[in-house]
Amino acid sequence: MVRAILELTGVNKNFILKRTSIFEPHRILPAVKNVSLSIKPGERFGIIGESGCGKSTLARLMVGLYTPDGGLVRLEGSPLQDMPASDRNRAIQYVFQDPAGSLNPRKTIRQILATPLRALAGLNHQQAEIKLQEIMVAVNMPLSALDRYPHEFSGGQAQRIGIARALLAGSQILVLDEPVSALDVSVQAQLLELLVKLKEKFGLTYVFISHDLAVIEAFCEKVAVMYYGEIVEIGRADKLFQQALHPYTELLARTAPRQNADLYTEQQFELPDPLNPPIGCAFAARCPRAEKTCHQKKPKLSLQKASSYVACHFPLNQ
Amino acid sequence: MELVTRIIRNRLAAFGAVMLLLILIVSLLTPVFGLTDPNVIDTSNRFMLPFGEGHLLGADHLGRDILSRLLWGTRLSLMVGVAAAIIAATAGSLIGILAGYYGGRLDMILMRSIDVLMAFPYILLALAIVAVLGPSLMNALIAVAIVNIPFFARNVRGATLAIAQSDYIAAAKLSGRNTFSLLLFELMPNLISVIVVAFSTTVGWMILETAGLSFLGLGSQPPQSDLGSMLGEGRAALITHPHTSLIPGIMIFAIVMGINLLGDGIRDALDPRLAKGALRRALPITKIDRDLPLPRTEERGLLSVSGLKTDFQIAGKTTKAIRDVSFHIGRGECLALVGESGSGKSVTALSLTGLVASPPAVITGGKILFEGTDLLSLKFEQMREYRGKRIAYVFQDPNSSLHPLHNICDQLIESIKVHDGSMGRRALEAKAVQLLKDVRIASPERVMKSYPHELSGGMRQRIGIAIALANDPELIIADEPTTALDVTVQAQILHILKRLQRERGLALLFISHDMNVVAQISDRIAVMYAGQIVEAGSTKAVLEKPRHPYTKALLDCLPQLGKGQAMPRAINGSPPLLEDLPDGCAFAPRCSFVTPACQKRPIDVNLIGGRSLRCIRMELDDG
Amino acid sequence: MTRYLILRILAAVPVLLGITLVVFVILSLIPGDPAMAILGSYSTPENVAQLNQQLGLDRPLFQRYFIWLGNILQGDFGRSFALNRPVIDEIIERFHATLILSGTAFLICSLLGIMAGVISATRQYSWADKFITFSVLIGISVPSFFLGMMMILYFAVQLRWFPASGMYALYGGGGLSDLLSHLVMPALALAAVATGVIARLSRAAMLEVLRLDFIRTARAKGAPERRVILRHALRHAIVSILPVLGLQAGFVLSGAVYIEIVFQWPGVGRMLVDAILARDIILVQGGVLFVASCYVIFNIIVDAAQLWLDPRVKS
Repeated sequence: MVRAILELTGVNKNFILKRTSIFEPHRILPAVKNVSLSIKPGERFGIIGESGCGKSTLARLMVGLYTPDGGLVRLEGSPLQDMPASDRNRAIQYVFQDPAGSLNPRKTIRQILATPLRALAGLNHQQAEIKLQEIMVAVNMPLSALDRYPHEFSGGQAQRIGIARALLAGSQILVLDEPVSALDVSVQAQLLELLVKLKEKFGLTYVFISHDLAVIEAFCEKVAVMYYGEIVEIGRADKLFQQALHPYTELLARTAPRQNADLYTEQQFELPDPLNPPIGCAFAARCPRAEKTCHQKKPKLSLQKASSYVACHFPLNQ
Repeated sequence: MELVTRIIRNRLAAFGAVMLLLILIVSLLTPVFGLTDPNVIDTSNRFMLPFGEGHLLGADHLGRDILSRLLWGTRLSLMVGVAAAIIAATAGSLIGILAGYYGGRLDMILMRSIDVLMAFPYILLALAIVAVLGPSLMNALIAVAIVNIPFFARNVRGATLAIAQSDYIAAAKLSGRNTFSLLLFELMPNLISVIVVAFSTTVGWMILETAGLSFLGLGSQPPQSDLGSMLGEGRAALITHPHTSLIPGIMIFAIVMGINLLGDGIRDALDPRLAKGALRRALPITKIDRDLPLPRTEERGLLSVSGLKTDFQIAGKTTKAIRDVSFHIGRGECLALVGESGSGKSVTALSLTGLVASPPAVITGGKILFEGTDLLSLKFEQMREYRGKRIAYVFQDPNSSLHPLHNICDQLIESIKVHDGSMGRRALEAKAVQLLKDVRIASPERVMKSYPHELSGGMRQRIGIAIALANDPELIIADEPTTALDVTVQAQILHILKRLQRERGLALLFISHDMNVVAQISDRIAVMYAGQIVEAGSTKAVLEKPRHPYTKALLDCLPQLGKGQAMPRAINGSPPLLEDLPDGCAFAPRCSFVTPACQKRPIDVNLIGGRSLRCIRMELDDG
Repeated sequence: MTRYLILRILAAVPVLLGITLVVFVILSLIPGDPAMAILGSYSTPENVAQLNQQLGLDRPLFQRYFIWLGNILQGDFGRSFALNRPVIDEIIERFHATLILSGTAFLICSLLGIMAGVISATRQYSWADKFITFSVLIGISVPSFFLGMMMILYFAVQLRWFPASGMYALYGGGGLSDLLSHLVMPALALAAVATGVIARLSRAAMLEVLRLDFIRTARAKGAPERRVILRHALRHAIVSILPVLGLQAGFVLSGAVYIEIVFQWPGVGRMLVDAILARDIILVQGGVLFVASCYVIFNIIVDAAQLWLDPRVKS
């Protein structure tokens, strides 16, 4: 068995909400709850979920932009928290959802891209210049772009620059947080193609976060489904949406719009309050298969069949 | 450099700058003018009027030369005011950066202290400081600097907080920057404009305030004198010899006016919204200035649009947002307008009832026939009879399209009330509850009393639909109604729309960027690219056999669920800039079937087998 | 709502304490011996020591603070040596005059400022807008004390419309109409700057709001333009104008100091300046503390209004 390049065990992250007054108790929002994952070298690992499910928080935990409140993130075996920031940044990098927002508006592209080369790779001016030219070619951008400012680029171009920045740190793992969500479909496909090309060229591992089932299915090998801060199912991307084990995954797959199927929608439901999460399964309230146990006991993520995990008392294959 | 040219282009700001520059030069050169000593007392010249002998601006109550005193006083006032501003800006910015960047306890302590300073009306604090230190110009300077620190601290903290949380700061951290270089090289360049704006708003004030303290006798002490103390001394003789107060007063006014004019210019130049015309007030109805003759339109169904053109006119440049758009919708039919961002689909939808913000939009051509009436020939009051009553809208972002401060009940009944004033409150409320039930809201009574921020995105969009339904319109225009929503919620909203459309025989114009969504809801599709409809036909036919190369490419690049790990095929290049459209087919540069003829002249619409197409390949093709 | 208000009032307590601390610390920093200052040329080492003990000045600073604070809470602000009367009596008498002046000016600047801003925004680039923008520019650039002086020169001396100074006529005055005729000029001079600031801000706030999505929704409903502007745009703009009104109230109170001097209005501002020049520290201390506390209370009222206008604040 191949050793995991990135491994999360029982990771938790809570946010303390801002109080309107110092006389109020602190309100705690659990964003990521007890998440365990293991990602192998060279894998294209997808994480899917709806807004507010904690997938972006999870992504930021992986690169050290957030520190977990519990559990461990391990990079090639060593805990992320114990690594010096520069080692961590050399090993794992992040691509932001909002391509324009991740580039400093007052800096030229050359200044932005030179930062990791100087600060992380320790290159001098000339070495950095060579690297810059190489990477611009790799991400299909003209060299003239180096001397321009971020606002001069379209979303797709800005995202290429964002990817270039991440690659220049020299890391093998890229966490891509909804990298194509802000882009038009025609540009989205270009970017996905580029990502495939770069993976082969540099031997990268991708953690790809998205809310779009079709994109995840097309791009990833393995997928984890998140709901209310927890992982409810992990499985192979090509199987997951056809033969879902968790009722939530099935709901996602059936409501996702497609050309060759009629509209499907579930019955009325109330979403759980994230500040007061239910004791049992978070999905129980809207689950057609829910029974008494579901409301009382939280299901554990457990192995079902060949590398498929599901957190459900009554998975769909039973 | 660009900033400077922008300020110069602003005539008022340039005037302010010139005025200020003159005052600055004169006050800098004061020592070399060889004026009379400002403090020489000559009682024989007491209160000499301006243009008197040896005293161009006259003399004051002690017979001192007013011109000399004015110039020296200006020099002093400027120096003190600017020094106070620099001290306040430096100290305040430092506090703001520390509080904003480090946050936590440091932020709390610093900002609570600032709050306490802000709790004083500023002059009280200044008076207290002067009371302690004793009246003198230096002490007035210190007092004015201190009372202005909170303003800088607050502004800079706010800006720092926003920047510190931005993605590009996170990206710089990941690029290996340490805290010091992060603050200096990433944060500071973005803060400078905030500090400059704060400085330009307060420096005038601080000159006024120091002058004010001197005026009260708490600043400069005789014989030293700034503009404020000149004015203070002149006040005693205000009624008998007004020129002794008028002259220094006008000088203070001129300085502050110059600073304010220049400051406004700087602020405007730094505000990107102004350049984009985003702070122009939108007219209640889009400006219409149509080319004649109007197209001859055959009426088909409920709504027939022909040759519609809308331009955006920004800073003398014209952008053609939609160019010659024609389509029609029958009763009970759902037409989808599909396209990528910038294709003109939303502008088309909003143009129908003149809702495109104008300025900058101008409708420059075409006809919109609704039940035989050309909507573009209507006056505002006539158009109002259509808006919300016969043609209703559902907008993209339910978050921002509902009024955040009105409750749901008021927002619902408003749409009825503005068209039918005869209904009483009771009847209106009952109708509103019914509307909420129609969009499947489980507890309408509770929701009626809620405010939008208390509801989820899906709930808000249902209310958006309920508002549209209020007057039983014949046509609903839904502009990307599910784009801001999650898939499971999107499915619910689409379901409601489709059911209502079927049950009530509504015509629905559905705008979307998502072919998959459109496939599930529409009867016919019109695909837009660069402001034109390039292909239109029945949904089934277009999806099964797209004829325009763009339609085909768009379908190919969209991943399909259930196809497994199959990479979509990308379209090369990027969409054209609307400011710079080619003469021929706008898609030609990206098209794999392009011929030289494609780029020569505009492509006309062809009608073939129920399909309308803008492609010359049709003519060559089998059809 | 009540709960939030109580919390807001509780949150003001530390601010008020902070104010007392600042006032106390600043004024105990005064170099020299206050007892000596009070006794002036009558000072001998014996009676200085005696007075120090009387005033409690021989105790440590923090102890003195709490004694002083205790006295303040009981309404004892000390005695003014220059006026030889309890500070609180003098303040209350003077504050009454300041309140009339600043309150009137505040009402004028709020109403006039918002009205001008709305007109200016809804008729952007019209003559009305240009006229308002120009007046605003002059209003915020002219020092209020200079404006006051010019008003005296023109309206009192030249035209003889209004009395030049004071709050009531010296002989036979005292009625409301007398007060009003004395009030017009100082109130207008005091309101000028704040009116400009508020008008400018209201214009910007309105223009910003008029671009928001919900305005388009209101138009799509077929609402008449008047309704769109007042019920939708202004209603929303007020929420961002209100905090500035609170801030401007502070500026009006501050400006009152100059105006009271120029128009010889018998208010707290003039009292403070006189007290500083006479080195009557106890009076300065009491006056600053009193007015600052009133301003804090006023800001609580502004916050309450904000809460009432904006349901989003509660959650």
